Amino acid sequence: MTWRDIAHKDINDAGRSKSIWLLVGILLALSLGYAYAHQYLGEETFAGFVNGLAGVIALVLPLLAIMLGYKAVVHERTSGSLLLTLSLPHNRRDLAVGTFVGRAVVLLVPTLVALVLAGGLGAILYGTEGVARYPWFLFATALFGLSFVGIAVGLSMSTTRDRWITFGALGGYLLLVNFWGLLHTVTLLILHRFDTSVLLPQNLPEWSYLYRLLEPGQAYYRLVELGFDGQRASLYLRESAPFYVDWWMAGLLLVLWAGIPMLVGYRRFVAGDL
Amino acid sequence: MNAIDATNVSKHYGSTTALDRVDLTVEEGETFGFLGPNGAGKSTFINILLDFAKPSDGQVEIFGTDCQRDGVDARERVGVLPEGYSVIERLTGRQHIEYAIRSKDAHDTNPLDILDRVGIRDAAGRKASGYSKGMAQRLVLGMALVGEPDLLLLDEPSTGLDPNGAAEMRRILREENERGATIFFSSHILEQVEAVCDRVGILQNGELVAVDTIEGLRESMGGGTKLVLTLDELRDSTLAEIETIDGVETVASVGDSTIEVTCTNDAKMDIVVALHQAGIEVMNFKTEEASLEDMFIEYTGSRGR
Repeated sequence: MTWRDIAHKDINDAGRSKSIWLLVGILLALSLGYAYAHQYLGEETFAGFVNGLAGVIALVLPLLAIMLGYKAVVHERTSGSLLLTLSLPHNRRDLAVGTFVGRAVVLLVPTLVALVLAGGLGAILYGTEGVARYPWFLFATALFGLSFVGIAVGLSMSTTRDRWITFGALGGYLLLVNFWGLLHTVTLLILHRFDTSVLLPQNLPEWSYLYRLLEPGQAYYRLVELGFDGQRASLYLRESAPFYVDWWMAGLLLVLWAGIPMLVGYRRFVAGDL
Repeated sequence: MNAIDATNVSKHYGSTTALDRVDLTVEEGETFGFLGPNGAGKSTFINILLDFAKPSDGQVEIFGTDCQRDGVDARERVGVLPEGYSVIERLTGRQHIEYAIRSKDAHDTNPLDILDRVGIRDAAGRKASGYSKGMAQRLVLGMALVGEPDLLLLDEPSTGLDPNGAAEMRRILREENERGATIFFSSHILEQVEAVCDRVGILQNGELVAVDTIEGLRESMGGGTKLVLTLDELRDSTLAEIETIDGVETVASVGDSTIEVTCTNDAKMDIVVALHQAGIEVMNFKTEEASLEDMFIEYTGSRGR
């Protein structure tokens, strides 16, 4: 259980960083800014506001999580402060868990504070219908954030080569946030010899729904949809959609997105010399 | 029980051998100096003790606990000053000590007492990243002292310390030893080791070439002599040839054609005869009593400073 000491240290350390205030600033500005701007952008209901806010979060939170985490372990490792931690009675598993928890707290506390404030503003501007389900949105957002913290911290454990870390962080963001939909389409087209009719709703094969849901942002929307009906996850509500693209699968996928990179990174981290 | 028990420890990096079948035992309560030039493998050995690196072969135990299998349990009783660390970027000196206190469950320790002891109490509230190398070294020594460890493991502890600081370090090590702690530290500087150690081990190119008390080392040399020979020419094979003569301990070239040989008294003439037979003329011939410093130089081929 010594990961607590490491998480405590990590939070203490990161909490004194100036960039943490930048993080808080960005989150506050974006969520409060969106809460205000939503009246010009979308349907003026609380549910409409939450769906819009989810769209902003889906772009920004992965970026912040990756920035916060992708150098967490490798930086300590190359600078040598890792040696101080591992000279104490901690093992590398404690370090992995402690770092993950530490970064998660550093990301999620400002995020949730900003979202609670934005939720309050949203309720004032767009009515309180659905406010009771707002905690579900916070929960989904936290899970979504954790998946990218896992990806980033896992990456930071996997190698000491700066170039690979940077490449992985950038590539991971682009693939998982920007290009998954394109990859999904291209894969389908290739498998069906460029017969574009496969993309029609009635022709989509069942597995491709799950393939699409693998994108963390999609899984996030799928979770948010449970509390606040919206257009973003309508794909998974079609009649032809298989049962296994339900909200619980979305939750499971986000957990796996956090867990598997951590596990792979950790295995490489334990195997090597420091 | 032994504080440190290393059996047949080897470490290879690709085709280079950093440690070659090292067997070493450090008894409880000893102050043990681990001596050798830079690059001899001292840090590799300590890194294996700390499980920063895994041995290619062999095993190491601290108080009977395997350092690789149960690393956390092994480090539970150890205070460490590692090499090549850096302080945690944004934590103050005091927070560093507090981190060690939390990690070692030594909650009755007052961080300021520790900082006082290592002489940086005044800097307790400053970020440690702003410390000089010497202050950082004191800080990490302080972290090592937290929780009254049974073994202090220090890798080149006097790095970055001025002579005053080095003397203070030695005083603290003596106090800790009197309290009952075993002390194991590495150094490439003989004087420091000589001043505090009960026993020393000398590491050269990954091999443990000698383990003995300071007196023992002196004695083993005392029976012997150092010959300083100036030859008319020094051939590539000469050193190796002399080394094969019975009674010769070390041979080193110290100048163009001057060599130093440590050997038993009886071997002196054999060396001169062997050189004569090889057609090498001895221009000058001098005998000295070998000092510990000479021995270190000859063991390690380095003046070590």
